Amino acid sequence: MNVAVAPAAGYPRWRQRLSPWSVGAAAMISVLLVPIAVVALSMLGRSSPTWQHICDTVLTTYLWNTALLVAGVGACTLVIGVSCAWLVTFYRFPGRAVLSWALVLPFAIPTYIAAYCYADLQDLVGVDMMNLPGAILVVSLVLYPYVYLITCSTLQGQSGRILESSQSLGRGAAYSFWRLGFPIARPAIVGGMTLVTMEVLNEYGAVHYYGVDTFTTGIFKVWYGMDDTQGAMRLAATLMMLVLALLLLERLQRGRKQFTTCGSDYRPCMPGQLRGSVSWLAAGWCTLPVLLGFLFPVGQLLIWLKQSGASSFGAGFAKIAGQSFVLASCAALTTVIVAVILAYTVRLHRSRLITALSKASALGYSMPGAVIAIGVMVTVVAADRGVLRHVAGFFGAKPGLILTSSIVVLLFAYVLRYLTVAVNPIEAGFERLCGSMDEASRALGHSPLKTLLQVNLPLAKSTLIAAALLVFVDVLKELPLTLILRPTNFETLATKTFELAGEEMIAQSAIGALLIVATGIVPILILDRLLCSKRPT
Amino acid sequence: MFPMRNLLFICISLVLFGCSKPSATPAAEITVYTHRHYPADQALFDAFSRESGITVNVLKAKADELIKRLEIEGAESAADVLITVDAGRLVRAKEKGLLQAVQSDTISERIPAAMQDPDSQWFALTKRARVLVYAKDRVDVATLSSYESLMDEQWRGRILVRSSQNIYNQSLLASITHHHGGEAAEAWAKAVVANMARTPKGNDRDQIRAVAAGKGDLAIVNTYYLGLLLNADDPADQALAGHMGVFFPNQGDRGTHINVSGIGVTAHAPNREGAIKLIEFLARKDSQEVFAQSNYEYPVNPQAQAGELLQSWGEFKSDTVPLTLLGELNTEAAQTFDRAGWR
Repeated sequence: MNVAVAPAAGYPRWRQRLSPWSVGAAAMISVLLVPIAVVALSMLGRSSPTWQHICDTVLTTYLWNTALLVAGVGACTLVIGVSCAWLVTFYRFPGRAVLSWALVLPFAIPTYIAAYCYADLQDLVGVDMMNLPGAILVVSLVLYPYVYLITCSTLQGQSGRILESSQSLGRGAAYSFWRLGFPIARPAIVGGMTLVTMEVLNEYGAVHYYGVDTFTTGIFKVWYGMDDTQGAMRLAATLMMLVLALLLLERLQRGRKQFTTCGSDYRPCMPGQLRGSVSWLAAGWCTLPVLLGFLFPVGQLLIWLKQSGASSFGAGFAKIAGQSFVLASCAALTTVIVAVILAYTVRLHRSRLITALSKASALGYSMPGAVIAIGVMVTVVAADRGVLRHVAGFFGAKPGLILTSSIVVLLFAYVLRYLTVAVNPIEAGFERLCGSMDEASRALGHSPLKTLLQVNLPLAKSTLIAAALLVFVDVLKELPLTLILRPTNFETLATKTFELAGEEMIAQSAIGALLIVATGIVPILILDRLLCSKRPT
Repeated sequence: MFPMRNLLFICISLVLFGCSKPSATPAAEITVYTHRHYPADQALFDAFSRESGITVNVLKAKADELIKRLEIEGAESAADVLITVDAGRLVRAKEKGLLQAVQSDTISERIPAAMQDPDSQWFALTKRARVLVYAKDRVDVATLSSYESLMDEQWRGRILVRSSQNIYNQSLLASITHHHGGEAAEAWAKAVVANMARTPKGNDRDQIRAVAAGKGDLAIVNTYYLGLLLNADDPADQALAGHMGVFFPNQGDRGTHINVSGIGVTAHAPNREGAIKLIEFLARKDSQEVFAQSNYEYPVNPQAQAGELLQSWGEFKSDTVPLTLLGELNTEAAQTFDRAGWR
């Protein structure tokens, strides 16, 4: 099935290719790819002695750990995310209304904070958490909401008729889900898993603290330990190639299969009532991730807060919280707009070039933040110098690095980093939309823009919201980019929290971590209200 | 075309000027790039602003990242000073041409020559010692002597220490490399690895707590983190103090290894005078005592008193290896750790 609108008769193909959409999308992506190119180009240089040293000594261990971590976290997030999304969407059981949004909450907890909380758990229960299995557990508990949220919004978008038909034909609920619900949601689930994998690949703080060295450890070892930035960037570029292969695989598995809901009889499926012990089992299963991923860390943070008091954060916390909220909102909005333009251009033109470019933008997410920050800074400083020369010539003044010292650079970096977080669910959301609706709208004389605004966006609302939420919370807890690229005197909740936690003042950092969580909950709750309109109770 | 382009640039720059903070006259502000993320530092910057009328703008990140930012920003950088938490990073910044020499009699009076770069490009602000913390009930203090003695088999399965990626471990190994040569340093690292109670993980705080939990008997830690832990709000942490002994190694020979946090004026500092004033201020007796009292660091100004807790550990002899050498040997030390299998 081809969703693209056929070119109007007599309209030359190149004209269609060169529509404002494709040109705009290509231009946007090109700008975003510059920092990635800066890192990729480092591969051209000669290999350094430190690289040789890493190969000779520790690389095998790092690669092995990375593989185990990715596989472990991938399996855990898949099981937790999909099973909870399935239960919450298709069944009624005690606590379901609360659990449906509470399951997203662990996402608001920065990974390294969860790691600190669980490190203290071992004092209580005597289980050593600071090892590879512990790292897998902790990272999975804060990352599964990626899979959960995306799967949920996809399953809720499915027409209930499909599963009901299957069930009325005598198939059980589990069989129907496995043969119909799951395959339809598969692109979205794999999209979520891709995000988790990339997040794991660039994860540094928590796993390093737990004594697990991954490929990212190698990158920082070369940079910080051996003062070889070029070598570190080359390692990051290697990691990028790995991710590129991963993305191609994802593309292949998606293949040519398309699942869309056509026709006017769309209506959400009615969840079935679970009874007796099964319903309590479902409730227990869905409570577990919330308990371990959210309630326990928050409880630990509250204990620390009680010990240290709120004074460590100073009086400015309200301002910092507000600032973080606005920054994360702006970043989420910008990222989603860019993602929509990209996804819609792909839908409009099926252009391989744009598809490839939009996939390439995902690379910004796979690199450690500190490395991508170098690429961003090189780009922005060069742009600054370009602007600088003209402005200075005009005013005869020396204005300094204007862009570099403004908030603009942070927004640019966030879009670059989190674009794929938004593009993935939005593309999957668009793919589920029936192409004939676009065609009908276009046939009625609406422009592509009007079709997007009046047909596609309203239909894909829940995925847009999910995408915006993911980016918002991600930016809220983002650390390395913000630390390196921020203007002077600029603090976010994440930087303020890290300042203390990084200096081993864990208890004093609790107030900051709790504020991150609190600020993250606000949009989760608001957006849940919006999403709920679609979820029958 | 031409006027249009200029117009565009004017618009863009006006918007950006609007975005960026309005600045007072350039002479009235300085910009600090710092790896020190302590509340005590902010208090000192505020005090400096009140006293001198110079606004202090602060950017906090890791030293390596700040150095990279300085490199990329080049001559247009807004930074006036760079502050790091170890001498090695200042040596790196100096080698990359990111710092400049500063002549100030006031600074020379307040900071001893051994605590400065020979070319006056950077100055130490505070000192921390790498000491041994041991469980009093399990370790006879008479068996402790030096870093070298940790190679002994009697410590098999008893030593706790963090990852080799930690700069304080790298500096320690750099000092051993300086005193005994590269091969001996690698042998030392290998022997300590063999004696470790577990694979290195966690931070210094975790090593001390692991000693308390009986996972090992002795930990190699930084006095700064030890001070933090013993003064922590967590009653469980405070209770550790009674069970723990602090030992300063190598008092019989070269002295205990120390590392410093330090400051340098950047090569393209827009406000060089202000930057020098800040260094003079931070080296002054009262500022040095703020570092010592609220941050558990040893002051570099000999007139300043160490904090109460640090004084209770007594005076000690510190290793006089030139700080510059620690920086120069840093990369070698990091690689030696990898060969020795010290995670």
